Amino acid sequence: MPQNKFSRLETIVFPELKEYGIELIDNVIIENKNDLKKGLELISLPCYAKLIAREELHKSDKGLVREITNEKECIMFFEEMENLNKEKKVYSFVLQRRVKGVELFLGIKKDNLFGHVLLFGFGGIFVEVYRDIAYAVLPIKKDEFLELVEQTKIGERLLKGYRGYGIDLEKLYEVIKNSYRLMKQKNYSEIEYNPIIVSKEGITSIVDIKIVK
Amino acid sequence: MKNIRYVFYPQSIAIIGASREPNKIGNVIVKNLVEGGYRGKIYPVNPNTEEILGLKCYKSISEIQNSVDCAVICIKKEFVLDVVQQCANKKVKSIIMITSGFSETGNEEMEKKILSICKQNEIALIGPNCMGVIYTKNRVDSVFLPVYKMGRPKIGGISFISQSGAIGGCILDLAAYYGIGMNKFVSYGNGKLIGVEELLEYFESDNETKTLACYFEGIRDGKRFINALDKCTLRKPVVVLKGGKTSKSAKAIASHTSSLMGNHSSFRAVFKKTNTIEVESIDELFDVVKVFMQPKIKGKRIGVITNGGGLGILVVDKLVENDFELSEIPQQKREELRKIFPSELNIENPLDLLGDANTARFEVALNTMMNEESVDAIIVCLLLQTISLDATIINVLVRTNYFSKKPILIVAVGGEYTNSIVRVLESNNLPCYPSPERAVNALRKMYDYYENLNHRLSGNRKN
Repeated sequence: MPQNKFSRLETIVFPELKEYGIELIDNVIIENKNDLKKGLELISLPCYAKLIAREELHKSDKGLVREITNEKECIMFFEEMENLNKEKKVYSFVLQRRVKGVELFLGIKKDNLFGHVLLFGFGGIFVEVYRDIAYAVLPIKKDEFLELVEQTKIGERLLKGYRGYGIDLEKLYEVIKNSYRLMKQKNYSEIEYNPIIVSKEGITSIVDIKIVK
Repeated sequence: MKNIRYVFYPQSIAIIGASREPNKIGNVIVKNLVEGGYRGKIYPVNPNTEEILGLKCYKSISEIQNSVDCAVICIKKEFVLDVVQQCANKKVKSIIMITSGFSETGNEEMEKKILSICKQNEIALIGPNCMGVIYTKNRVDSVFLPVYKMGRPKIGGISFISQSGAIGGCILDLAAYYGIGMNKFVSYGNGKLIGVEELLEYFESDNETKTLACYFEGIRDGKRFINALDKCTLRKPVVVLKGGKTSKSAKAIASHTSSLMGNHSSFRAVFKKTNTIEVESIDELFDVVKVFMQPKIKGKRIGVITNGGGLGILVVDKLVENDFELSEIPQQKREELRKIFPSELNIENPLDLLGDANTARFEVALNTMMNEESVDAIIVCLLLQTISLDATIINVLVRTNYFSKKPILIVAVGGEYTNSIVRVLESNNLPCYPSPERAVNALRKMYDYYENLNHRLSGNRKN
């Protein structure tokens, strides 16, 4: 776990997440080129490096994300980004652990008529293409969540242990419960996790998060 | 809203705006009540007429000596407010307001005044801007569409709530045409006082209604709507056709969630949560509502009988696609049938009775499937185009269906001859479908409803 002098991305961008027990995949913010080596040791290679706008934790599709396999690559990307990122207050350079697995989507949106609506399904950048998404009105019981997962093609297969991948319903249910609580208390209109990756080891990692206040 | 019942069960109806002139709304309504055989008192109200269709006409509602349970208002909107106040003074229990030109055209003010009078006096208000109410049993009929243009359905167990008068009219006419029995019909128009929420609450405890169908575009109160649906679907299937699902405004996409949400996703989530059956078209609404006239389906093993091989195959394909199974015919039964049927007939499921099958052969096959424990539902494909199969099949099907404890669905694809037989079958409570997929879709929706219902009931008991 990254500690001491490194900050985690979410503590800067969404400090409230910790209080609600929601944690992103292991990551460190690198302020200084000299910290790269230590940072990579903590995160372990291969990993992702990203330049992230602090007030909007989104849109990696502008070439601001790179897969890093060695230190040299990382330094080059850092320098490249440094030129782009003159204003350090605006962007953060982040190293983030890379996990392989199935990408899932989880979103909650406040609906004018029915309160909060949950979206669950197959995630990643092609979520709108596949549209393998099921919807439910919150709050939701655990067995109702299981039914919701079963409604999606990806969920149905993961529940049967598709290609060795499983799905940690408990963990996902925790994320939903905590996010729902967070949204109600802070009066946020939308929260979205995409992707949440489930690995073969059964670990569930939130890779990207977006909040609309 | 305890007075809603006076809309369906009035001892007396006043028609304010009754008219002598044929083809005026106020004339059609009086005529429908008189000729339809409404059993309560009818009071036409019109200051300029002495008599309408042989009934004494009153100058105003206050002139009527007896009490009035329901007032149908079909006068110009300028006079409506006064009349509503008169109704309140007369202690009228319910109003059906046909008159339009209120909030639907931006005229919010006057509608608010009407609503407040009704609320204060506990008047159950249907409308304004609605087509009214039908209750088949006591012949209450305030629908202003003439009988020669729109048929009236016979008595049955299906009730229908519609925001739209147009959709309501189409459904009633089709139900009448196919002989599908209905119980109550409400077109609630603007529905600010009594909308889909209140009507769902009412129909939950209306024991005459076995199946409820709804058409609406919007609702007023999300939480109340969910709650009402949740309770109603525990008592009876609720089939919903929702209009206005597409969003015209192409909003800038702020997130995946927003772009995935669409206009209708939250409604879909609510329907799923409450075990409400959603349909996509008027056709599908009928398909599904009809299947619920049949006994409950208890399992997923289906028996298929056909006199056209290909039709049976298409049914089987759709059954498999929808997770149904084909019942196994036990060995002993096969041998019995082998003695009766021609040697070239394969005793399998689907049971193909061959192109020369007649009514007698169908009867044997039907009885077999009826008595066979491994069959949870029967789909009968009728290829009525063949030489051997004729209208005598009607008697066998109707009789079998009458005593059946499992659902029987008919697939009959064809033209005029086929449809003439379909109409007779449907008016005898046999659901008929013009394609294999529509029959199987309806059966699947029925299966899912009862499956979810059992699940919910057992879950509730645990808690």
